[in-house]
Amino acid sequence: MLFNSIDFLIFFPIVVLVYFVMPRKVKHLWLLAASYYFYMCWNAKYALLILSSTVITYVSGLLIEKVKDSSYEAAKQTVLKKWVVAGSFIINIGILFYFKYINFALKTLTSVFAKIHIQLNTPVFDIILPVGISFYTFQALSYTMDIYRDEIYAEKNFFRYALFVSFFPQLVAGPIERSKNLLKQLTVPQKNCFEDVREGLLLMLWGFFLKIVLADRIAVFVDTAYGDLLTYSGVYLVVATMLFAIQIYCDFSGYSTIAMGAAKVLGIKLMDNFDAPYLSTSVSEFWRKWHISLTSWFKDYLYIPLGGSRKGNIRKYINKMIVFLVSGLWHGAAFSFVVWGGLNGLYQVIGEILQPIRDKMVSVLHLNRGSLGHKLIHIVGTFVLVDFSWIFFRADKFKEALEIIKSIITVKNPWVLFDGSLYECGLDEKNFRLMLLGIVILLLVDLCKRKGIKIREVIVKQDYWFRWLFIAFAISAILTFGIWGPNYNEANFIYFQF
Amino acid sequence: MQRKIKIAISCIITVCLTVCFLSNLTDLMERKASRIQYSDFFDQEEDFDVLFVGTSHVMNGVFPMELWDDYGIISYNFGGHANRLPTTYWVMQNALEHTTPKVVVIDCLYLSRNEKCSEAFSNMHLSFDAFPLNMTKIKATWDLLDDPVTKEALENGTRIEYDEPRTRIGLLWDYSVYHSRWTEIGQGDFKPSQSYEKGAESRISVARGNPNKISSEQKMELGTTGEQYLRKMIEDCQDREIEVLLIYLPFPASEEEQKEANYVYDIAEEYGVNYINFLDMDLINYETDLYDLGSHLNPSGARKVSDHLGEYLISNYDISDQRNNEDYSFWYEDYEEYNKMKDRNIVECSSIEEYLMLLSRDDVDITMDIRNKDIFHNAWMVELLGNLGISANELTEDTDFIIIKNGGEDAVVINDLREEGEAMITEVGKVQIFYDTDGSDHNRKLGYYRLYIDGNECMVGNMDDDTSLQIRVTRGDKVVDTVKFVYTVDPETTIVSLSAANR
Repeated sequence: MLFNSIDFLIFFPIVVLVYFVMPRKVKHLWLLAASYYFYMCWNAKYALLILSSTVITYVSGLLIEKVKDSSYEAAKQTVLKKWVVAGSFIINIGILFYFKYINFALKTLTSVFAKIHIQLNTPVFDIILPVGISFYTFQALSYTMDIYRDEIYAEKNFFRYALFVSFFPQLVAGPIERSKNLLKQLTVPQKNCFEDVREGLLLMLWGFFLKIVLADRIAVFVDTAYGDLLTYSGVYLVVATMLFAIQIYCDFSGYSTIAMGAAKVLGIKLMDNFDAPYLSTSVSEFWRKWHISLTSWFKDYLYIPLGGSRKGNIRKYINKMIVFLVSGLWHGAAFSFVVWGGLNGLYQVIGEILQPIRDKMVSVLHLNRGSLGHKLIHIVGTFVLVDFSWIFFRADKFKEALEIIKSIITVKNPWVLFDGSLYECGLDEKNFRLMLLGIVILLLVDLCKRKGIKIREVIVKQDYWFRWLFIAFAISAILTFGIWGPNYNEANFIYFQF
Repeated sequence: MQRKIKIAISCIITVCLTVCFLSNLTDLMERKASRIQYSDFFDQEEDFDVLFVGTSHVMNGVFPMELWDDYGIISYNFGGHANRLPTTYWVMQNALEHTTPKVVVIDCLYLSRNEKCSEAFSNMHLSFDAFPLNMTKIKATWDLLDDPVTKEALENGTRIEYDEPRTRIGLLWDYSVYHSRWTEIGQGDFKPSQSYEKGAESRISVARGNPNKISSEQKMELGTTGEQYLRKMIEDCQDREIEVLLIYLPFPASEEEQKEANYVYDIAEEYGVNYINFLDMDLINYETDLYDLGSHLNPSGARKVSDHLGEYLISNYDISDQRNNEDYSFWYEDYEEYNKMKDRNIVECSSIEEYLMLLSRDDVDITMDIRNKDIFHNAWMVELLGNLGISANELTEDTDFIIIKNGGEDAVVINDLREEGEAMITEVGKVQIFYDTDGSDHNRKLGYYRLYIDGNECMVGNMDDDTSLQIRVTRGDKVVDTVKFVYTVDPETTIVSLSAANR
């Protein structure tokens, strides 16, 4: 079930209304049932996978607790706990590997052996990728690790834990929640609160704007240009690549915002997944503001265990590269994703290596790092670097990404920016202008966010008549200008595939 | 408690405002075709005596306004493009929510089909958009989209979605389909135009069909979905004490369609209802009365079918002539608007074939100046003239004028009328020609003439100009159109044709 489907617009109010009238003790059971129904709308059989992951991590949590409470000496306890954590990781990652990476791994193996003239006859598995498998697997694994690190106690109530793994607003595309935040809230359900509902609905409205007005409209242009590289070359691809950066941001942050809003309506606060990332002045800052829940997951459960920055600069650079290569692979079983991750890692490593030189230049040239111009040039530079890496993310294959880059560099057709040709790339003039207007609104909202101004709080502070009119107008505008309905095949959120 | 009440009021007002905004947007964004076609039906509080339901054959082939003018019948046409009988059933059900007619006339085309809806889902919008949302519409949507035949065909690829995907929400709340029209909103969306054809639609074109008759013994297979719904329609009407007339309109029907038409006799007999199979009648001219090769009637054919149906309805059912009923006096105003539309169709026409077809109406007088007789060598032209009441035998190399009055009842061919002041006494009156009304020799020399019928000027032309065919059309005292069709000769085939209407 997609957030931007009629089904969800029926499902969600029913879930909320029943949730509000249910006794607090059983609220989590209702949400659990709703969450499994939500997931099973895609593929009922794959609910077994979530259940397996849930059972494994639940039992591992209990086992770790049991080891902690045992009379074994500390060293043995640590060894036993590590075994349990390893077992949980191996099984969960094993399931993830089978469903997501087996064909990619076999294909890679075949081509490697082919290079040394050894013919391998590897089978091709007909596997449908379970929606959101990377998200809920990572969420469940973080629980095991947090218990191992003594950061939380193991949850005794299986159903409550199962809800933590499968909570429907963030089940298929995050944010990847931590047990410290989400499980605690599920254990002590909040009272029904009008302010939460209002804030949640405002968040959902903004999320729908990002998704159906902006992301899906931009997608028309990007898909048209990237889908026909012979017709659309040079500047077309520059514009499409820039727009793709906005599209994926609106698509993913749109989903996260709807998820946050839906959870907030139910009285649960999910972590913020994005913090105006395109206003970042460096790639490393960008990654602190983009998909925050995943970046922090990798930091806590991969980068730090690898040694982080504690073992010298060379090791730090290697660790960073490992994290971003794995992050690339997490996004998809293809080399183009690995290249995308590697590029982002490389940007940061090079940035850090060049830091002393840059500092020196700033000093020699008497540049003011706090000036608007300096910040602006860094924002633009960061956007260009990140956007360049998106080419590998968006292209169907690595080779196609190279073709796109070649076309951008070699084909000189700047006139298409001025002669109306851009309006023939899937979006007519009116839709193109509306898209630009939407991007300006997004920019303003992100600027406000960076300044610590929450638009929804500004709205809530207005007079009641303004709030009424604003909400009615916003819903009508989103429905009118959104890409939805029978003439439009509800586009999946891009991040569902991960 | 007071806070809770405040919150509740706040929520209710917000919801009401949103519904109000969306309701207005829904009206604005809607494609207006359905509303234009059916608004008259919903605007009229008085009952209709006859409802026509079925496919585009009915929509293009039966004109309620002609029935009003000729017989005083108050009727509405609910034919829809490619409506299968299940769709027709639900259109009828929705229409019966608003009126209780004395007779429902059902088109039986597609009786042998098992799918429930047209291939193009936009046709469903044309049929249903104008109907307000109520339980009947919801039931219709649920039933019509529960269509295993179409579903299977779409799944196995024997059929593809013609336009939009089939969704219930699309029919029930058309804003879900039309909201993207914000880019094309124009004056017509704020001030929708109105059709005065009472649900019918004139299609202006002429095609030549070739009917191929099969034996009336050959009948279709039984038990189709179409048949089930036809039976439901008859039974439902009979339960409501509404008379049913089954029809199968004329067109060059395929074997399968003729088998359908033949099978309807059995159904009609079983239920004791009347049936007119126009395929078995020699009513229309397949050379002049078809809009397209597929099936539809043009206004000339529709006029003949409407006339026959009007006569039949008045003779066989308890339907009164409402022309003197003051409650329906507004139909006169609508009829005048309808006539203006017909006049516009003539004025906007640039093809001689279509023009001659459109002249097949009983309320205009026509005068034709025929200097060039090549037109008589074109068999189709002769057929089209025949359709106006001119016999081919009367047309000779000496023919100068054709005068038609009273819908072809009075049609005369004037031969050899060229001398100044020369007069002929004909069925239409005294026809006289003058070359110069102001005494000047200049016009006389150039061949300019004026033709009079009973002293009234009916044509101004040039006796020496044999490059064009001139036609003048009047309705009452009003000149509807004066047009010249220029002769052109194809240099390769030497075929003479008339083109480029010049007004």
